[in-house]
Formats: sequence, C-alpha cells, structure tokens
Amino acid sequence: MSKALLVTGSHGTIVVANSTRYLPLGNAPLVVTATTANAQVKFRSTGTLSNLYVRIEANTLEEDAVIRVRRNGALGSAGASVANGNQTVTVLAGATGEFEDITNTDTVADGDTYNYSIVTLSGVNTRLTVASCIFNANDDTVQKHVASGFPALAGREYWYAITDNAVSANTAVDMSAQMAATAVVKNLFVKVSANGLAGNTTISILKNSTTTLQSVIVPGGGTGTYEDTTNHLLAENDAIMFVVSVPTEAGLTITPAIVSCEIVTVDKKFHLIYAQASGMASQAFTTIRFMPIGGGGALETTEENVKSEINLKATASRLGVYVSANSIAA
Amino acid sequence: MVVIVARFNVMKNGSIGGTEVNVVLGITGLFEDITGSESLVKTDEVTLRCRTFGSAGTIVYAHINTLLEVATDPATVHIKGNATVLGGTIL
Repeated sequence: MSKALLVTGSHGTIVVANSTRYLPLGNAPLVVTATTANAQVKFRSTGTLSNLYVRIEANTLEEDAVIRVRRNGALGSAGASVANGNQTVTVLAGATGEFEDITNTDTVADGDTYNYSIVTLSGVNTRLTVASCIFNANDDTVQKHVASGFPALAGREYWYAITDNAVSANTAVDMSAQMAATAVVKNLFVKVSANGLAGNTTISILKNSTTTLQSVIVPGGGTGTYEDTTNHLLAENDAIMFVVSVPTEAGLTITPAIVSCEIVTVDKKFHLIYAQASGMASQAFTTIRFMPIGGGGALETTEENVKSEINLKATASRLGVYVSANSIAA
Repeated sequence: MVVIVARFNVMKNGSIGGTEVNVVLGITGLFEDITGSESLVKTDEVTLRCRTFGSAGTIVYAHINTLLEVATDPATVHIKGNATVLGGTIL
C-alpha cells in the first residue's frame, strides 16, 4: 500500500458562470465537459482518495463555486447528491489561489468511476489549472494515466501520450512515455462518446512502438465503455503510448472521450506526465514557460498559476523530455 | 562544443530543483536526467519549467515525465511499561 499523486492539470481551463462542468480524475489533462459520463474514469485498483487540491488562476464569479470529487456519477438517478463524493472545496466569489480538503476521503471499490465536478453560479467565469488527489491504493502503488480532449477522429491511425490533451491529432510516433521504473500496465479503459462509423475501431496500448499490450475493439456505431483488464509487465526504459486505429469511411468519425490505464509498481514509485499533442507546446527562443507537473495542454508564462502541492513525501528524479522538433539557432 | 538551446527543470517552491535536462542544438528525441533528484515534502509546491536560449527558432516538446518515489515513513513503535533505549534515535 502506497500513495500516488494524481494531477489533472493544464495551462488554464475556463468554466463560465451558471454552469456545471466535469473533468477527469487521474494524471490527466484538465479538460472540462458538460456531460459527466465523458469525464468518468473507471478504477479497478481499490484504495482511498484524499487531499482534494484545486488551483484557481483567475476568478470573476460573483458567488461561491463548489468543486467536488464525484463517484459513479452516472448512477445518481436517485438524486444528484448520490453521486457526490465526500471531498469538496468551496472557492469563494472572486478568490484565486489554492484550495484543499484535508479532512474528507473517498473509498474506491473495484469498478467505481471517479471524476471532478465544478458548479458555478453568477458572474463571468473562473479559470482552473490544477485539480489533484492522493490515491492510496490497497495494493502496491497505482497511478491512473488518462488521455482526454479528443476531437472527432477519421480514417487513420493516431498516437497519443498516456496523459495527453488530445485536442489536435498527432502526426508522428513521438508520444511514447518512457518508464523510469519496472511496472505493470493494466486496465485499459475507453469511453466513446460518439461513433458514426460502420467498421471496428481498435484502441490499444503500444510498447516500444512495436508490441500491442492491451486493446479494445469498438464495434461500428458503438458508444459507451470498453475495457481490457489483462496485465503486462513493463521493464525500465520501456515506452508506451495509446494508439487509436480508425477505419477509413468517407465523412464518418469516432470520438473517444476517455482513454486510460493503470501503471502499478511494487516499490512505491509512480510517474507524473505532462503531455500535449504535437504542435501545442511550441516554445520560441529566449523564453521561459511553465507547466503543471502533470496533465496536458499549452504553456503558461506565470509559474504561480500552475503550482501543485505535492501532498506526500517523495523524491523526484528521472526527469525526461521528448523533443519532437528543434529549430533553435545558437 | 555542445550548445544547449533549452533547459528543463522541476521547480520546487519557485526555485530550480535538483533535476535538469539540457536540450542540445539541432537534436530531437528523448533527453533525460538519470542522476539528479529533488527531495519533496508534503507542502512543497512543484511545477515544470522550460527556459530556451539561442537567437531564433522554436522547440516543440511532446511530453515531460517525472518519476516520484514515495519516502517510507519511519516505523511507529508503541511502548508499554518501562523501556530502556540503548542506542539510535527515537523519531
């Protein structure tokens, strides 16, 4: 049993007034959706979530906003409150900075889905950069990596980092995240929100650009959730990514909402990944930019806006960066 | 001579931490710091930072990976009655 920090992060995601929005819980990009089912991430490893932490970059709301952990949100037919987890923070009208629930926890059972929600009232908007929890798994150390923000995908193969803000499609196999420790990858989970295709779409985890470890097949027209619960050993320095293989059908597309997996180690290690689809993190010469330690999206000029409280005692190491283009001149 | 065009760090509480990746002129692919590390406690605030140098051009990076190794808490020992400590440290 050991803790991992699950950071959902971005350079800043706007939530407008008088709205309810949902975002994935994991090591995930901070992508908001109005549909709770499109933000839910299924957990197969059991444990306890704690230390809900939120960072607000800007806030022009005139009333308090509430950010919650949500458990099995789509099953809340007996009333919206049924799906609310125990952890919650209240962001006072106009307030910015960090907010944390250090009191409450949520129990994760096999098959539970978790996500965050934010409910806003009057005013203009607020801008989130980080939402995080500690996941204290009952067995080993478990990190939940999540890719989200996919557009409608048509007719080809797409590659994504396992924590990808997949808002634009990648064009090269440069999204493999290298494991800095031996681990087991398991529980590939996919949520498809729209599918106009007649043929099958395959969503996989690919190791070292050659070996398919896990895969799910989404049948033509199929939406909803799909899982592969097999386990696969990863050696140190193995690299993995998500691959979405879409059949070519003129004018027809599929839209994944969530693609996630669990990375498990027995030696109290976990990865935090910040990723962005190709072309998003283009940084000019002689500049300084910041990112949350986990998540996805574009770059931030002010460090304060993307700070995450680590919420556990740990050592950070094996910093790794994949550079896909480099035209900086001396 | 090796020319560094970009430098990545894990930042701790607004200061550069003990991990650093340097990207070399004209080179793409994976760059990794396999020796540096930074100790973190619960209240530390962390970010990732990229500083670029040079006279023109851009760098595009696809993903940044950090390994966290959770510290093992000292064992808790409950003592009933009288005990004599012969050595070591009580935490």
